[in-house]
Amino acid sequence: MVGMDDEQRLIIRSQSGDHEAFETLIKEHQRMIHSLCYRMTGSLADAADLAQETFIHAYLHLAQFRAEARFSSWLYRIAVNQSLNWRQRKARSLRLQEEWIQQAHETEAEDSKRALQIQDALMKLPPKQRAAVILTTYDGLNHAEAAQALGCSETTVSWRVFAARTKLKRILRHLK
Amino acid sequence: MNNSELNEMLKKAAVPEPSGSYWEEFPGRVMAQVRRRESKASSPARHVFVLWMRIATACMIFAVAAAIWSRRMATASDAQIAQIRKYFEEIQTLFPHQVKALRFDQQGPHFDLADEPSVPNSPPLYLKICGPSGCLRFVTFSGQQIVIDGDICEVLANSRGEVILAGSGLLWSSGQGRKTGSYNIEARKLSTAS
Repeated sequence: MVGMDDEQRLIIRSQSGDHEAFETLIKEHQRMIHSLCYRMTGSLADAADLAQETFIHAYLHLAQFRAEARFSSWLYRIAVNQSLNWRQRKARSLRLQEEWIQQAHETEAEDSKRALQIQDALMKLPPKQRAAVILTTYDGLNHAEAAQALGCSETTVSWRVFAARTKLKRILRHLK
Repeated sequence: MNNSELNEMLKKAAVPEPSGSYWEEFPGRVMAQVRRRESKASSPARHVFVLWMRIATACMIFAVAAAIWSRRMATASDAQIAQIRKYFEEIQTLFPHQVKALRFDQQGPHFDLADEPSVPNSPPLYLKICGPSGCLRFVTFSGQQIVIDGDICEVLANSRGEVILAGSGLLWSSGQGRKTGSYNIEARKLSTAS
């Protein structure tokens, strides 16, 4: 894991076109971005596409990154925007269903079934509420950081998290 | 269910792990895409394409603006017509049956009078002709001649109110629409107070 100073150095090198430095940054953040994209889309295949697009976008717009912000927050913002703008392709829902059925068959473990049910519940939330709950619950961002990543006010994040939690409690009450 | 129970439940839902060497290959895949997009963005063919697209867009914008401008120029406003009508009526009062045509150009009005009061009594026609050298306005009558860019054209009107302009290089009828060659022509009866 690279420290903050190392990360700054890698960013500066990447900004001057050093591919190797950016590859190191990808290795550092790829799991975090994949998880976010998976929870936003409910599909591993879409998460892989979105994560790739997120890093490509980040590299091509690296000049816009300001050192005072955290690189991970900046990446979150790109990934959330990519996820919210992700086109609802016709084939996508079919692919999602197939993938879930396959995943459910592949593993009989109770935990995996439960994980799929929770993901299913997340998918029932409006995308912006889903993004707010993912950033605050899974990625541990406080409401101010989530607001920065989502490009909205802290109050909006609080409201979205509250609304999302209320819905999730209702949907998941049978799993308790 | 309270918030901490919900949090606990949500956190237990793990993200499925991609298979094989996905994590090792992913950064390389991203960078390969980056390289592809960078080379695509900087290729000379793309620069030429972008340049042509910009020129084509500029031409389209110019053509649309020119079309709108030309249409606006070819359509006389009510105020202009009223002014021309007033002017025509004053001249007609001063020279009854002698006015063959009134021409309005950038220099102002010009009139073409017959030596004798021999011009037949017929409804006056208003014509606005816009071409490469600018716009000209006329008030004339069926059977009279006007000069457009050096070309002598006969003005004819039929009973249905259609106007025909016939010259050696120009043949136009109000039934065919305003555009003809490089000219935009508007013609109508000029209703007068009398």
